[in-house]
Amino acid sequence: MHGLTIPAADFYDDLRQRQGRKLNGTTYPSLENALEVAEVILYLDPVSNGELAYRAFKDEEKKTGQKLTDLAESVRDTRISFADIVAQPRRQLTSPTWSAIINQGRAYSPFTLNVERLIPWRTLSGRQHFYLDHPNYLNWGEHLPTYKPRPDHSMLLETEVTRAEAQGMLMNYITPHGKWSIHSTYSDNHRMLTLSRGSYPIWLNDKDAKKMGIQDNDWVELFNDNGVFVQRCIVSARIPSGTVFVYHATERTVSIPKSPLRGTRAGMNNSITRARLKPVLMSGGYAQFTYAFNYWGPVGVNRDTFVYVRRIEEPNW
Amino acid sequence: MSDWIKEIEAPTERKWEEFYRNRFAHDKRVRTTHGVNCTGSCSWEVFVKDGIVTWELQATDYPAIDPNLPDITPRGCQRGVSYSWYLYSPIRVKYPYVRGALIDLWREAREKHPDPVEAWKSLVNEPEKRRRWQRSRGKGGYRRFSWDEALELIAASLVHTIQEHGPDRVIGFSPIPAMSQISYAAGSRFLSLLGGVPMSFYDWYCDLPNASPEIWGEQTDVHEAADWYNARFIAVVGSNLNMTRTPDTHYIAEGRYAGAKFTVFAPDFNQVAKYADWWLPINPGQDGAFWMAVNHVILKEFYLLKQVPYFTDYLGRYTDSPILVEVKDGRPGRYLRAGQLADYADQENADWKLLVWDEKSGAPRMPGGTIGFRWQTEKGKWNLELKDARTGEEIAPLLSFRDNSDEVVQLEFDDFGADQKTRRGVPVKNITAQDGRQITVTTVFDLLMAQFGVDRGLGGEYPQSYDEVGSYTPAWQEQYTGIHRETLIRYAREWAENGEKTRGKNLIIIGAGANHWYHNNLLYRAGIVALMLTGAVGVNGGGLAHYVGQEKLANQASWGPIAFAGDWGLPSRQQNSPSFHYVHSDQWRYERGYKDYDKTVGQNNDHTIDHQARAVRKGWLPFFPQFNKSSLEVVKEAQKAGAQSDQEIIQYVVKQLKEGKLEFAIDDPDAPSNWPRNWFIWRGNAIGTSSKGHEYFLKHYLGTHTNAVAPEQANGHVSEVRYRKEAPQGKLDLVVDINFRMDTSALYSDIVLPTASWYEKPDINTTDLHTYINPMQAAVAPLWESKSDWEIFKAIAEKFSLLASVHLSDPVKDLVMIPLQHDTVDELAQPDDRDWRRGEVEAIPGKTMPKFRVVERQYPLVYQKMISLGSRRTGSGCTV
Repeated sequence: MHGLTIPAADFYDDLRQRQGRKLNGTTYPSLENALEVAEVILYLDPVSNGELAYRAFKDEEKKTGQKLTDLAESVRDTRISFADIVAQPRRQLTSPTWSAIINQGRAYSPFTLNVERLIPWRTLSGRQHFYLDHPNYLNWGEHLPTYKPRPDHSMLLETEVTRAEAQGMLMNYITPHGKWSIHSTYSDNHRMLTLSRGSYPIWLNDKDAKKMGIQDNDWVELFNDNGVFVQRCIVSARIPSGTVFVYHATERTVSIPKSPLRGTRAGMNNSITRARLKPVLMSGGYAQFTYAFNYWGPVGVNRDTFVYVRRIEEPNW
Repeated sequence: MSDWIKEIEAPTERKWEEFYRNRFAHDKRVRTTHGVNCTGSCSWEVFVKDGIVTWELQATDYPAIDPNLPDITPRGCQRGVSYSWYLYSPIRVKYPYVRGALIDLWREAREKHPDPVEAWKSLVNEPEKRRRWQRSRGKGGYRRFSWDEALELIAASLVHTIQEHGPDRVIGFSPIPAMSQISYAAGSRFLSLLGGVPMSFYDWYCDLPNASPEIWGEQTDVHEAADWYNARFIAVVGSNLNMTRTPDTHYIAEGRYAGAKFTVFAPDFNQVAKYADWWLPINPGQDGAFWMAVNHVILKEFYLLKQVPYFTDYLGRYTDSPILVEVKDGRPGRYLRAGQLADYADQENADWKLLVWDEKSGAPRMPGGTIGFRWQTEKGKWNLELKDARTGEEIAPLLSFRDNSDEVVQLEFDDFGADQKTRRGVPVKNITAQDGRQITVTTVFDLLMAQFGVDRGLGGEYPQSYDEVGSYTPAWQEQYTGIHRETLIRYAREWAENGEKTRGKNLIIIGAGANHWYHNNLLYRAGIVALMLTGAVGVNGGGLAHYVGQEKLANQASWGPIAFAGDWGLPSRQQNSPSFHYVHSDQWRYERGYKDYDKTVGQNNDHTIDHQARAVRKGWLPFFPQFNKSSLEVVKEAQKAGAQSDQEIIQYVVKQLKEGKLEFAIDDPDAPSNWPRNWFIWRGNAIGTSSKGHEYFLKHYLGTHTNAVAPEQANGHVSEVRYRKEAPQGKLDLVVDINFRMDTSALYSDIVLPTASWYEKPDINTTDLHTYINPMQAAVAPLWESKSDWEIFKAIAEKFSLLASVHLSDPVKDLVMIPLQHDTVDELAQPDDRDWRRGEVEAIPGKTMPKFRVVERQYPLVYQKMISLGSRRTGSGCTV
């Protein structure tokens, strides 16, 4: 991590003693049960083993020529175990595997290590970049900070077939996080489903709804070429005109009727979306534009999505 | 009724209260937390009565960070507190389930074939049989079956896939390791030991802010919520704090008492908008335009009309502003490299060291800290000291050539909003290169001033006032944002004044509402520029706080090798999911090439999948399966052709690729030889709420009913990949979902395995919103027939190893393809963008193309290795 090398052979040996298991005659630290895994994670990481934090700073000192070990000097004896965090939440230690100094009651703010201790950012210039000179960025005109308009429906081409079937207006479809789910995902327990109106309403602006002849609590069908979603709607002035909300996330197990348009069971919030990748974000092989997992690459954007909405009679189940 | 309530016959006894007392009675309390992706990582106490979880409550014993910071206690929200209802919910998965159509065929086949691998082969290689369970996906018909039968079927399918297609046809998706690190590692460790493919989540969820790696080389690194208290001017952009960051929001209230101004950008009047001092109802997705114009005002008023020493000093030390850029063909070009000048030509990594103009010596000088110093032999010069790294002399980098330029040249700048180019004057210096060539250079800062349209009397198409609609004035942004220019000017001034007075305590809290747009990197970058210009990054209370996805695995250093089998010296086939799904679920087939619809892209106007294919062969991005053949077979062929050492095997493979005898799977994504075959899903909803293009997943991955009606568009638009006329339906042989809920993914899988929920297992949970490490613990044992993810993957590994000792008994060699990696010397791989397939450069693994590594796999030992921590990590020191 951060390209650091932290010697930990002695701690590895401790673990062999404490929770050893034999494989082909050699003793290894056991990972047989999850608690053993937890102990290994805590024992071998600089944020919970002060000596490793010290050694990590030692390695960073070598690279940067800056004095850094003072940041871990006072915690070299600290070891946070699973029993410790069960007894009480424990605060992490300052470590160069991250970028903030959190000693002596300082709140974590990123890059304070870089600014105060002159550790470079892990970029081409070692500094923060206004300018990006990867050939791909120059080609796409993103070498300087700039503005590009949002892709419109004629570029996205996902409403061509459905335009003929539509009676409503073309709307921008987004799926923000909802109030009645545990964050973005868990919406289907008894408590969450019995708050507000239950199920997964489609939210419309009041003026838009009026134009489309839709009243609050009507059943509506939301669709484009990608798919279809059917629910009751909530009409609210809180929603901006031209936008339709379906709070993330819906499940097909809860109150999903058939779609009158397609005759089959209507889908869920992602039935409407399609992945679109931005090629400039595929750039690689060059300084900070090298790949790391969950770290770099094109992303699954989903807000540039257009749909039609129409009122329907009570649907079939 | 009245007897029971006792209210009428004995009202003074108040017996009804007993019901409530009993409801909250408990005989045990256990500290744990929720393995949910909310970034909360709140410590909870769970109360248990007679072995049943009855309720939960926020723990209140966090040690305080500092007496001067508001207390962190308590944490936990109104949604989290509903979690215990899941344990005994009707949608709880209690037993292993299998699709009826599949289990009937399986049992029939098992009668005929005593060997389970043979049995699986007899089904999966029979198209009509395979179609039968594929078509029934998502149509109900699950049947309960035993763990033993489940494990045998799964293990047999894995052995078959590895034998027939290769291990990189086995994929697994699980999101957000930070929320339950051990449960994540269970599957990713197993897959990595197999040679299978763990798939990413952060980019696929669109939670990765690309601007962060672009600007800082960092995935994401943000403030704990307690630091909001230190901010004095807060901009919330696309983040509904009160709803999604409920346990943290008290720091906003407290910060306002301490004097902070709290401004909110939101198109809808949402919870956080109500909470604001200043609500800016901006048009959806247009925040970038606002910040571009803010930067125009800051650059004009705080860099041109006056100078703020704190700002200019910050820019010179901590940003690339003073670094020299070559201008070429009337446009800004590449950074000037040290190697281009005679003085520095002999430097190691001279292509990777950059230059500034030193005010003192009046010459280009080479500061340390650039990436060439990071990876050179001589250590100790990778730092941000303002010194010439060769001589050790102090230097004073010049931000601008405005007052001492050799000349002013008119350069071309893009105005994508108006779809036009503008020409603007930029001050430059002319210097002589090592080869005698004249090079024209300017500074990044001078380019910024020109790009943002700040007129310094240099001629060209600069807007003349804030009221002129030109890039990027306050008047210009009105057409996009719907915010009046006067509002913007006031905002920009207050922002910069606060930065000046507080030395950078300007904070942007930003979220999915901004990051989920197509041009999110530009939107973020515009905001980050406003932070850098006010010296706000790297100070307490200042900077960019992006809270989208719980990506911070505090103990990543020790967890990583466990999760991806690095302890056994194995490279993991880590796959970026956006590319994988775009290609394999055939969503690319429904898109045209850029030349048909996007005028802004210039010469890059072929199809997105063409860019994807080139990125893979250049080593920019991973892609699995690697080849149109098994990666095990490829090694065998190489050996047959005489290759012995790893190096010879790799040489053989490179030659085959160059000659086109071996293909990357990406080059022909719909060929049956290139399909993914086995899919494990755990801790996530890969076919539901995490499946952008859900209906295409149903059609092309699963081969079942779909509501998509979109016509295909790609034919004739693609140049780098083969377009097959018939789009495959049903690429996947077996989908195994490990779940405690019968959610959308479970509905569409072939097998559902019951997993322990968050109150039924030990684990570790961390977040970026605070700096504590939280445990998960089993308040009760796993319910019904469920097991924890760790135990489930162990059981699969054990059964797999058993079958492997018959079918894959000998050690085999596997050639693993990995893209060029961040935080390694690969960062210096490609000074230029050249394509070996087009003959522009030699094909060199790890340099101009992906890296290849030959590893040995002992499949019968997978289980033993999974439960033992290998020693490879300590060979040359524990590399973390």
